[in-house]
Amino acid sequence: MKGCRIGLWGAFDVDSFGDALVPQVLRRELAARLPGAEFRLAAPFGSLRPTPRDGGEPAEPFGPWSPERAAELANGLDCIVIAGVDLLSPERFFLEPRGPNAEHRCPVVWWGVSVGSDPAPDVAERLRAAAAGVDSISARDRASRRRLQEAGIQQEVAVVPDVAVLAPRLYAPDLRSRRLDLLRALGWYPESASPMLIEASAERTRYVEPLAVAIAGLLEHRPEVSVVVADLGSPGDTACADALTDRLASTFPGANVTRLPADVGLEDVAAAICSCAAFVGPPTSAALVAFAAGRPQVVLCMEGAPELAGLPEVDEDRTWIVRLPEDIEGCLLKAVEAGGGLEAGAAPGTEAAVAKQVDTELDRLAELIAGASRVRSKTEGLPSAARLEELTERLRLLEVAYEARSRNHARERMIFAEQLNSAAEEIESLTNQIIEMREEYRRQVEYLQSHAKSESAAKARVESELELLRATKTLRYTAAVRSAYGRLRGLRPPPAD
Amino acid sequence: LTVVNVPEGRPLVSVVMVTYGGRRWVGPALDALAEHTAVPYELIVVDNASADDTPQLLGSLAGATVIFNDRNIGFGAGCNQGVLHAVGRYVCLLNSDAVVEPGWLEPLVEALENDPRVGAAVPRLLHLDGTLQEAAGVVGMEATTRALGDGESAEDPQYRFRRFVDYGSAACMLIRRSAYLRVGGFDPAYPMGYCEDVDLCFALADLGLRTVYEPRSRVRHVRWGSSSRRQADRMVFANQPILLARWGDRLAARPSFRQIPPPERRLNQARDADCVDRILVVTEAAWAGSPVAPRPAAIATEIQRGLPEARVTLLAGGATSSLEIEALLEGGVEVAVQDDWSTWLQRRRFHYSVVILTGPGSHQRFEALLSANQPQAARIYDLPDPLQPGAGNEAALAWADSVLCASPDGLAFASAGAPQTPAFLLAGPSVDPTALWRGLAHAGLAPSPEHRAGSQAGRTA
Repeated sequence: MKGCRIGLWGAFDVDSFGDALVPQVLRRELAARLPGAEFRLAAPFGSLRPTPRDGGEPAEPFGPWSPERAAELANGLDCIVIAGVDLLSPERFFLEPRGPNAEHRCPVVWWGVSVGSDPAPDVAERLRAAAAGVDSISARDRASRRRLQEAGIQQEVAVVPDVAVLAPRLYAPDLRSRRLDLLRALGWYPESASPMLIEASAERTRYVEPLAVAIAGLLEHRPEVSVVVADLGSPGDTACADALTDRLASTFPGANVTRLPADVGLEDVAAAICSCAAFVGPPTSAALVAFAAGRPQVVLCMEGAPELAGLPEVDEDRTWIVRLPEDIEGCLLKAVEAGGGLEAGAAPGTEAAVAKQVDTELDRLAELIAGASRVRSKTEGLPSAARLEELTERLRLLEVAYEARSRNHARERMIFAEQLNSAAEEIESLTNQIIEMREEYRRQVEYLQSHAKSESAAKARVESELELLRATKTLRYTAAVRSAYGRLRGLRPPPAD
Repeated sequence: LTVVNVPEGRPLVSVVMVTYGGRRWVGPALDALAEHTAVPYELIVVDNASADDTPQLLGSLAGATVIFNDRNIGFGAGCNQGVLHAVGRYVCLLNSDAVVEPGWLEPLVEALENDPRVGAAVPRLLHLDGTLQEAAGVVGMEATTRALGDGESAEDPQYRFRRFVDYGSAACMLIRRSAYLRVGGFDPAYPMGYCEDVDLCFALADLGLRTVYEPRSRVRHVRWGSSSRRQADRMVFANQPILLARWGDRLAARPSFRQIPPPERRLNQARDADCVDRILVVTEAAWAGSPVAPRPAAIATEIQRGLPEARVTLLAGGATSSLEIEALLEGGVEVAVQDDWSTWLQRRRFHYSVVILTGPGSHQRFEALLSANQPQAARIYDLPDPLQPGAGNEAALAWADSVLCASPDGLAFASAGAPQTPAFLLAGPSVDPTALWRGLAHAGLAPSPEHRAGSQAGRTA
């Protein structure tokens, strides 16, 4: 719907793969459903702390919360979508996005939000109060939904998988292939076979040792496997990646290990994950990208069950959830073996179903926004008389211009036809001239040939007469006299004898 | 060596420079950047394992992000690597042998700030001796590229008007970071360098983003500063087939550049290939000094404003002294200053869709030339005021498809002299856009909706 204005608010300024991915996917998906939609992105720091992963369009900073600032951000919007945030964060704009002074009370949506821990009573009270002004709520996992319900929120709370499952759609295969070429050129991705990609996570640093031992064990069996240690940019990830890389180097010196540094863009991470033979990491957005791309994966859940929506519905043929460190090696082997038989990028049935679930929720969100936009259009009133007059005038000009342009085209065709005819006439005239010149040439040749023939006959006659003359007695008998005369004149050599 | 002007706050522009040898020019390029850049920027340098002492120079660079690669990964990949570190709204790809001039960056930034349809902006590239190196480029049917104006005077008006272009050299290109990321940066299919900038601009165009040539920005560029002509030719030769395979459909309707060098008329055809509307405004010297002398310039400027995708050319038949050429060029109007109009018009045969004759004597002087070379164009006559007897106005009325009249007397004269020809009052030296577009509609021209919205906003302000 042309002209929809959507406020997209969240922690998009956090330089991590998952947080940076949310606005990119939502913008793409909503824009596809609401063509011409305009987005106003806002985040706690936004453009005050731009990051290379902000897609080149950093969000607007919230600034300190005040009724005026909240109204300023909300005014003119058809809907505010607060996406992917933890509602326990101290950011007030997530709970009171419109403020009391907003001119138009546009709908507010909590999309894929989480509640990181059981809220204290006063926090629960704040959540309840905030939810009263929210038109649609979805949580990213079942634990968050439970906490919201336990806080006394009466509305329906849907559980919607993380939009990371749509990342393979955001980055087209051609673009992913190009980015992989770049990663290879930079030495950040193996040149040949698809590697096993391991997400180094700060939260899993304590498991570096068993992970390194497990990988070394795998490499004992499958020395051809290459390993990529990916650092996705969250705080502490680099230290974890360093530790894992060092440990691998010391545990299995011949290992083919590559580092994917935190510098890479979202599309690079997506490309690397979508083309890996197997993914190993915690249940985060990266794991969901691997899940959506149908990559075999080992989910490291040593500290509890997977919390991210989508992962509970895993296909056991491609996903192995590890709860005990000693199980890692076996799962790695299974994942690598499964990866050898899978075409990169193919999303099998379960994953496609999860993506469809997100699509359905997005369709619902788009309908809500479109409806709000229609309401706003009505509230703002019908076009004024002056506007109608302008539109009428513009329409009239377009009609005149269309007619004139059609006339011009007709004239152009006529002029080009004339030029063509003129050229054709010239060609015909030149052709006739050529025919005439050929005829003239033929005549000249005939004349010259006949002339040459008569000349030749005349010559033959003269030569014949000369022969007859030479054969007369007079010439024979006077030969000696003529010879002597010739010698006297120096005209003839003496006889040879 | 210290690069200053790295703000504590957010840089608006991330300058990405890839170095590969060519130490001789890296220093002057960085010095000029530091000296002539007033816009907040950050500098990211990617060194592709230079064999000379460029790394030592870069090692002493303060206030910049410097990345040292252990091998030459090529220009495109180097730029992509640099952009991974960029946080500016715009990325400026700047060659290490490009020496920027004062005020180089502001016009490029303006071009992107003022028009969301612009994805990239390129400057006027000069040789070191000050002659023109490239007023952006054009692409022929065979994916052959040509730099416009190479070796000619950099001040020639035909190379100094702002316009949308096929591509500009990545020697210096300002591009929206969001757009760069959306197209995936330079395509590594073009190894080492050359043609990847054309590919990038075409990819931007696929997203609806145009590349604009901004001649107010001037950058001196040492060609092949880090390679040689032979190497460059070899790389271009290797990369053109890739370009053709990818964009052949887009280029199919372009003129052929097989003839080397391509004739000027073909370069013009390629330059204006995407301009559906091409308007030629013709004015005459006799108008110089008259109170309505600025009128043709005002008409040309308003048309260009209303149809930014169109090519508007003002043919100034000796009347340049009465025209504010610089304002016209900045407004995107091509100003043609010539001695030999016959040849000039022949080279643009059948090129224009609309011809507007303005000023007394213009019809007498140009009618025959226009009829011979632009017979297909819609014809508008701008009837001068005051009406001068013997100025050929009667013949001009008979020639025209529609008439613009500078006064009510003129309107009465036109209505009486050519009652079948639509005539419109367009009073004064400055033109009223509404009245002008009313008249232009009869030549098939209507302003873009964006222009209408802009005019409305201007009136409100």
